[in-house]
Amino acid sequence: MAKHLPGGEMSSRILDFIWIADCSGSMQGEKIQTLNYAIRQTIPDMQKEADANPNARVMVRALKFSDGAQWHIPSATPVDQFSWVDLQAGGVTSMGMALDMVATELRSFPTDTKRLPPVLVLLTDGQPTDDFKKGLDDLMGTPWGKKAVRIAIAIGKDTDIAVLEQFTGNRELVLEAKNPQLLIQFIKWASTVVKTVSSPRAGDDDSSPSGVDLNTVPVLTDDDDGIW
Amino acid sequence: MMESGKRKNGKRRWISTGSRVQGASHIRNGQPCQDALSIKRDKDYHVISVSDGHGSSQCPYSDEGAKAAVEVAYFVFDSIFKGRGDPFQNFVANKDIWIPKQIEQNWKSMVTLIHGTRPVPFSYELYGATLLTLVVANDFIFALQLGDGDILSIEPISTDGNQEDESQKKTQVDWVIPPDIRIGSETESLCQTDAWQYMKARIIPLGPEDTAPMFLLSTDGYANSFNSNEGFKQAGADFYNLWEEEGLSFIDDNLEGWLMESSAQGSGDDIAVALVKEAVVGN
Repeated sequence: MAKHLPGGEMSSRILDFIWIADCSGSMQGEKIQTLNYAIRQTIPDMQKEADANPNARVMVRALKFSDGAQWHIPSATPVDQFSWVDLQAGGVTSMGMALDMVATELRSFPTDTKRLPPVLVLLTDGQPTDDFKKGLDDLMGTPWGKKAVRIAIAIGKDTDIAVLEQFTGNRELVLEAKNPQLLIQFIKWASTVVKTVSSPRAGDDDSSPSGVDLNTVPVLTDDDDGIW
Repeated sequence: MMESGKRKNGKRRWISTGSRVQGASHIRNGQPCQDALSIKRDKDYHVISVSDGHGSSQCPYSDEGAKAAVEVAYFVFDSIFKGRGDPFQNFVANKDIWIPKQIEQNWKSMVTLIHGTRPVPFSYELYGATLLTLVVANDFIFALQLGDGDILSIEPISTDGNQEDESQKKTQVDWVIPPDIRIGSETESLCQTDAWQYMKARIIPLGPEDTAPMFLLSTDGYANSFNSNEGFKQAGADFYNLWEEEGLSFIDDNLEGWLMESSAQGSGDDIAVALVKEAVVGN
């Protein structure tokens, strides 16, 4: 074989994974503890998925919202170097501002085809206390926001499911974690969708929202005891 | 795969080659190569096609859909050459409606037949695939594209300097059909309703004195392996220079290895690439 490959520099495609976590006062106690535990536990699974697919570079970051929103882990971090920093709960639910901040970040991505659609996972137990619609409009106004794989995990029974459905654009991607076990399973599931979102899909394919295989979503069983 | 030819009796002759490789990620996951490549050569024209089967879980037979796509393209174009009238005029008259419709209808008929008695309920989506095809003839080039992938033209830039002394000739590389700006992994497909409406076609007439550019067709696994579009276009320029300086046999000897390495370093996807160039007397 010739020494040099034809063409310029090569690399795998970037896949951005963003946790968007509710840290409002109602998350205090077992909910925030379970969320912290579950995300930390799922990191090795994400790393395993990334190892199995070296042609996608998974970059992880996290954003938190309560009284306002801010980047919790601001730098896009290669998944093999990613570690979780525990969140603390307290305050209100500025979900709209959180989506606005994600939109600002996505707007800075180049709109070429060398990047895979980002995965956005929103975790919340409540209802937005700010202008959610403005935040969502901002997000959906960006090319990458529109194409993102958007998953919502509703924690407990007081979540506004209709709001989360607006975020995901599909009821099936709103996962209702009615107890700590399901929250752990959903977080684990959401962290591994990266392996399914990189396959090409036909332009009018609406059978599988965002290319996510919904058949693998964990379901509540009789063995799952306890509720929030 | 290669063929040499000479311009004889005023007729333009073509040389074409290509290769397809299973993607690095497909090898790891035990998936088949879902790209198809077809190079059909007649004495007066070549039909070169590549197709990318989508390969997602909704498209389990897309490797067969891709093979059907490149076969159908040849079938439709060959029928025009073998039909009545001047092929160039027929391509001009039919490029936007009749040809796209024929390709869609024939592909859908073919995958319906292929599906046969499979136990899975039939849908076109099971076989979803793109199609990029190029017809090179004596007096024209015809290009058609549906979905992701690239058709590049590569030609030397005329200069008044000592270009022959340069180790790398300067080239102009352009898309024959400008690509859509697409985000992520969504693509147009033959499995869509009214897929013909999404096909883009272009004709480039060639005068008797014109020297045709070289063309490169590739599925998107190739361009997606590069950091940038410029890096991909550089591949077109490099192929042109390699062909000029090292000859076609050098490309034939190395093409498969280059594509495998590109997939491993880049997209991980299957890759199909075809090259076609006008033969020069003495080739």
